[in-house]
Amino acid sequence: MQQSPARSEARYSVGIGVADSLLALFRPRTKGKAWIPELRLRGRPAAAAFATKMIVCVAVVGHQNNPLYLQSFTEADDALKLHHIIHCSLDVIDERINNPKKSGPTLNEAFLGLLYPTENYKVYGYLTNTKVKFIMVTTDLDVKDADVRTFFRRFHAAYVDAVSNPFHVPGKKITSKAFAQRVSSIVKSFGSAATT
Amino acid sequence: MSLPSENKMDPVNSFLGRLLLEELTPVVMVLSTPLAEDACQKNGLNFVEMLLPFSLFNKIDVPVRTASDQPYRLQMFKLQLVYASDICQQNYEAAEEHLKKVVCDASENALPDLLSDPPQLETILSKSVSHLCPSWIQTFNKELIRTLSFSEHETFDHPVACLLVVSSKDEQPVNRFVDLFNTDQLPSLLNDGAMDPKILKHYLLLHDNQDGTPEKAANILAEMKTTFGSNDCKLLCINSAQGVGDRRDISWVPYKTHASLSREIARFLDVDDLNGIRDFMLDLASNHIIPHMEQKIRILNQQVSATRKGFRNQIKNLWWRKGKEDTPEAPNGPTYTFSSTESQIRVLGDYAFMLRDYELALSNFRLLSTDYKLDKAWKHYAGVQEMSGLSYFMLDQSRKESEYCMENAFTTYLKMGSSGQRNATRCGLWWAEMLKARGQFKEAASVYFRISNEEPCLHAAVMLEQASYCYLLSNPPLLRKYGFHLILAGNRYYISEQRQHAIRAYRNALCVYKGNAWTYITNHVHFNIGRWYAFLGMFDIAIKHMLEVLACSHQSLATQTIFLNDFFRVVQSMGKIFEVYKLQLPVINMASLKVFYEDTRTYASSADVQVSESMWQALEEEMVPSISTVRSNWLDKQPKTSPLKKDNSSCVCVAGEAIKLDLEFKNPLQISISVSGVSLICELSAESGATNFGNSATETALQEDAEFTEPPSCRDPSDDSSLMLSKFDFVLKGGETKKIQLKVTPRVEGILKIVGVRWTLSDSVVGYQYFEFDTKKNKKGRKGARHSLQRNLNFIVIKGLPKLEGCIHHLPKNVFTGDLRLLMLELRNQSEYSVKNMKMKISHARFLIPGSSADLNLDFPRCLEKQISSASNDVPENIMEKSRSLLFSFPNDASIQGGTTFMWPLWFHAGLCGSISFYVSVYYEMENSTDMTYRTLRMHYNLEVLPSLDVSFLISPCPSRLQEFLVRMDIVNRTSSETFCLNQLSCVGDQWEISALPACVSVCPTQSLSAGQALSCFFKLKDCRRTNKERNLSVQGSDVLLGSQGSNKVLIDISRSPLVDFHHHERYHQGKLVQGSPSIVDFILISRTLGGNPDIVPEASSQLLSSHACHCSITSKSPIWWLMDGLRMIYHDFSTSFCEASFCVTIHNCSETSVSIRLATFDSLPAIDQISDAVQSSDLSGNQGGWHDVSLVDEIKVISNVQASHPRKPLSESISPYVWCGASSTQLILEPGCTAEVPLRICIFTPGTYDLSNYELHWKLQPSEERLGNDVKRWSSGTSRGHPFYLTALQCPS
Repeated sequence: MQQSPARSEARYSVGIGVADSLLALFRPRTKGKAWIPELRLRGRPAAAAFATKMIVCVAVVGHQNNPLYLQSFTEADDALKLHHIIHCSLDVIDERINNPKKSGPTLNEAFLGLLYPTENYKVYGYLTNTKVKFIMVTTDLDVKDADVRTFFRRFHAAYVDAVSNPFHVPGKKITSKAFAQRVSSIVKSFGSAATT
Repeated sequence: MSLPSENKMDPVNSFLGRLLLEELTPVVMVLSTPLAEDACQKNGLNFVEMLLPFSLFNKIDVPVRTASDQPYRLQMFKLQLVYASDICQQNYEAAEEHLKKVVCDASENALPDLLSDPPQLETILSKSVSHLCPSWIQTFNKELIRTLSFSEHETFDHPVACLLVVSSKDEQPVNRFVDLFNTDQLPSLLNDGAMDPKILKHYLLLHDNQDGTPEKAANILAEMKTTFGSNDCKLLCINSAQGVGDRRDISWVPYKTHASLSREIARFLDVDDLNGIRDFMLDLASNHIIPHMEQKIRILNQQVSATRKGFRNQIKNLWWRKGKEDTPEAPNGPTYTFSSTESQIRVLGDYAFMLRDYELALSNFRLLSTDYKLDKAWKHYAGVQEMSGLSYFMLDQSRKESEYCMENAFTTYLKMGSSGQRNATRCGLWWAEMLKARGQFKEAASVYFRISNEEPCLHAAVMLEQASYCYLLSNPPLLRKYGFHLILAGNRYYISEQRQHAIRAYRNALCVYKGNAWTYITNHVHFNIGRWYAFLGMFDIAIKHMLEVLACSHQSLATQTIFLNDFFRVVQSMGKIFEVYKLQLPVINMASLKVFYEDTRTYASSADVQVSESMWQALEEEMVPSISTVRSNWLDKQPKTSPLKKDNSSCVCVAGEAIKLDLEFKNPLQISISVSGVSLICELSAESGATNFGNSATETALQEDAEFTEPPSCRDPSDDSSLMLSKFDFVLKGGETKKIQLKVTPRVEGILKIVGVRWTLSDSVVGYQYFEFDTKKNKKGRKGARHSLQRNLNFIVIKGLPKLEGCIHHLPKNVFTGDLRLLMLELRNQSEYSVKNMKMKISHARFLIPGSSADLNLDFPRCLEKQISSASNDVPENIMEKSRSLLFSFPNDASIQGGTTFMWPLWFHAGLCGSISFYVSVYYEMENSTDMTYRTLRMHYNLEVLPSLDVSFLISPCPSRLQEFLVRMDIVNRTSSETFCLNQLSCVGDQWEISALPACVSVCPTQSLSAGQALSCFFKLKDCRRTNKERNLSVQGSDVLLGSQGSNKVLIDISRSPLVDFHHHERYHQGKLVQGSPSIVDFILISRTLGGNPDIVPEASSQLLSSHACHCSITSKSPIWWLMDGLRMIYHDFSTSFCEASFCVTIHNCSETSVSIRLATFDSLPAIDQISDAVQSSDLSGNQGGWHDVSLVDEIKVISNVQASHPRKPLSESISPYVWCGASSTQLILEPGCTAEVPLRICIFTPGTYDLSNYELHWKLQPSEERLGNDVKRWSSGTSRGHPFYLTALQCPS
């Protein structure tokens, strides 16, 4: 990869490292044999930076596509990257909502399924009745659909509880600490129910 | 495979179609002599450039017949003329340089664009496809593809023909022609066998008309024709003109050599020359090159058909390839010479492609691809796949096939590693164009994205930008991806040091993120745009963007620091003080804006201003003259102060007095920021404006909009003398909010406008903000002139006036309940004028009452002591009335001269515990002032009254005497550490007399009451009403000294001025609480602190406390008192007869209604021992008195044995030893306050001691009409048992 002299001064740019991972992120996974194995080695080893199975980020996005809650669960300083991922996923959600024929039988279902298959991440979406979107980014590349469904169901319950708080202003960011705690516990328990 | 009809498109007219028609064209290799070149250079062009405009034929209309017998006509055709020396692959670095130049040039053109505002989303969406993508990107793509020309594995750019050019000036031109086609100068393609060296040659003699006559040229041409054949030789005459015009209109120059454009070009070419060139090129194309290609196609097709077509050939081919497998593999796959079958098929395919016979081309490419695949010649394979993909596209056949071919080619190129990378890029570009032509923009974007992964930074940036445009063009537009890819592209541009492009990309992305709450992203975008603008030296725009990110409270500390430091660096490099409207640091809370000014209302301290205006207005109601009643008659002229009143929206302030403005500043960051020079922006216009003020109000409103856009430096007050502005410096720590009070002091009369606030951030940036008011909001929401954010912060400044300042001295913060003090009110007049006609009003007369001038020099606690001589009842009768009305007028002669101080005593008594805030308003009038006749001084104090002694009284009627009562006083010390010394207990009113019980000489055993202790004392209270009939409420009671006998305590005179006043207030207030029960007596307990708690009252060692307990009532629950009177001891000779004794029961009605009473005696004793409690039990049962009796009678028989252990058992043994005689029941009705006597008699049979309590008093209230309250109902009837009365009958010695 190119190493640029500008990097040192570009302390707060996307940065090469971040940009690379961003690029890697949005490199579509090609199906079948056409993908050449050597090419993989040129990118980053898949998900090396993260634990084997975890949710990297969850977000609640309002019906005007404004972020209501966004929490990353990585140590790295990748807030910007995750913001971009979530933000771009909204395009896919919009597309899915506007083309219901694709989803067919799942017309009335809140779970939107896999939004964005990328090399390192999988992005899943969920749409509530009030057009609030939940987005989840995971590094677990062979995650089970059922796990994601249960995750979103629990997340939805937590969200409903949080916005039922009379002190919560609808359409404003969720600042409840109890909600954050609950979400992190849901995130921690993600997938464990299925494995045990 | 059939396509959906709606997606049918014309591949030839698509962008890719035109691109292929222009780019994949037959190449003509040019070999020229230096002299020929010289002739061309006269025009500023080389030979190839000179021919270039004429190598494109839009309507050549040539019939072509390839493999099939069906001829078709070519319309558009192009020839590519290339010098032989250029027919080689560019090396990588040179190609990079060339491409970079393309980008750089574009960035220079883009510069003026960057100065304008970033584009809006709507304008971007409305742009057409062609306008969206900058044209230089297409150029870039073309140049990128061109860097791959003349590769070995493709033949479409291998020269089809060779043009040999010799000048007529050359010596021995014919020999020169031979020399030119010397193998030394030929490109490597021809030499190393990749190409057939037997190439179509065309000989051109270039004649310069300035250098020789046409005849000479014709001679040479004739010579040439004999040597090379007549068909292949041509003569071209140039430079006929005399150097007049410039023919820039014809696109002479390809992109490559644009640098030479500065010179005049084509000066010497006249119309004939140009026509000559055109004819020559047309002839070359239609008569030589196309027929040559046709012929070659036919030949090759026959060969291929013979060797490869058909089943037999296929098998043979397969077998042959298998045999080849054993040979060692070359790194780039096997090499194919021009004579190999594969190369020939490829040439066939390419020629067919160039002559638009795509089906022929496709069949050959497909044939070839299997061969190459078997040979593992990946590059060749990919090249063939690429071409077949393009053929499919041009045929507009199966989309799937074409896409598959393109993807296959792309991945195969990539598989080869670096050698195939650029080819992959080219393939990807074509692929993406193909998808775009079919409207599959999303797929095209992902192809661009894949290309960007393989290319170096700069190219990747261009690719990403194209990807972003594809996302925008897709339906519906994927705006977020558009933005994201632009950000990625911008980042890449920046890394490859193309800042202009980086800015352009980021700016375009800005509109996607605008307005949304994606702050992390917007911060990143704005910050980087700002930084890059700063690199370019456009500091003002840089700062504009930087400002957007300053208030980034959500970012991490490190990021905030970076943002702030960069911002300051940019501002400093700007080199001047930068003024920013609505600077985000610190954040100003506009809702916190509060204005404090003093017109007629002045305040003792700033805290007093916080009190709501309605509070003050209520207080001052009677004191201040009403404003609205100035005009009595409409004919009356406006009073002189009219300009002030006409415009109610303006406020009045006094010159020389400061207007204060509270404003909150908040630091949203985690790092501390220093703010300096915070001051108000004010305008003070001179007095002249006051006359036409009414008109100017509307004018100023109009001006305001304009004013609010200009920075404060434009309006800096030129004369500092008229205004005095306070300046504040402070440091805000991370997340801190500070409330700053800003002041402006007008010095001269006029109209003052407070416009805004300005401040300096870290000594480098000046921020300013104007106060803007949403008028609609103000109209409905705010009330009260003082605290509202007035529509205009306009003030009319009037002439300086006297202003009193005042305070109350010695007012403690914490006092105990009952504390009595003498305080001092001090009023200072700082001005030179005197004030007069002063009045004062105090909100809580229970706590504070004004004294009199005589109290000024009193020795406080001592003055209250009872003087032996002070028997004179000199209490003024009207004192209560005066203090009730709360308005106190200072004596008429009291006026405060300028510069003097005025003192007035105030009495303070803490009547109630809790937090008390009281308000004092002093009214005064000015002499010789026209604008304002009076002012008020408002003072407000808060104090905490702590609980001290809880005193409660229980008065019960004395069972033995009618007019006497037992008083139990319970005192609890509620303090935590204070010790109190009880001084005296006084009861108020002259109808009562209190005294200590005779039994105990010293009333209370201890002198003092320490913290938490409780004490009960008993007193006797005697009703003296009979003796003193007049009911005078004046306080002149009797007192009991508390404490041990020997102490030298002095009685306090409770009838003296402050005490009696306070008692009236206490009585008034407590009377509100105790309603209903008839109030009897008031007590005042005087105590002193022993100074056990020095931290509360450090200044006074011994504080005087007076606790007032008013409206104490007698706690007897029965409305009647009675007393049996008679002989207690009888001597009688029982042997002779029984003894008769008579008694008298005196019954008194102490209730306020008349009572009907029935006195009943009975001989059997009541079995229970509740004689003394009978009163209470009857009270408990209330209305059910009758039932009570019955149950008692029943019980006698049942439980008489149970009572055996009772001490009174002997009495109930047999029949009663005595009987009542006379009427067993007497009924009478008592009027309120009346007393009646009922005579009773008994007969005693044996000597002994008898309890004569076995009688009952049944009473029933006879309610009057007006008193039918709950209390009366509860009390309406009852039964009381007789008081014990012991009679001892003794046998007298007979």
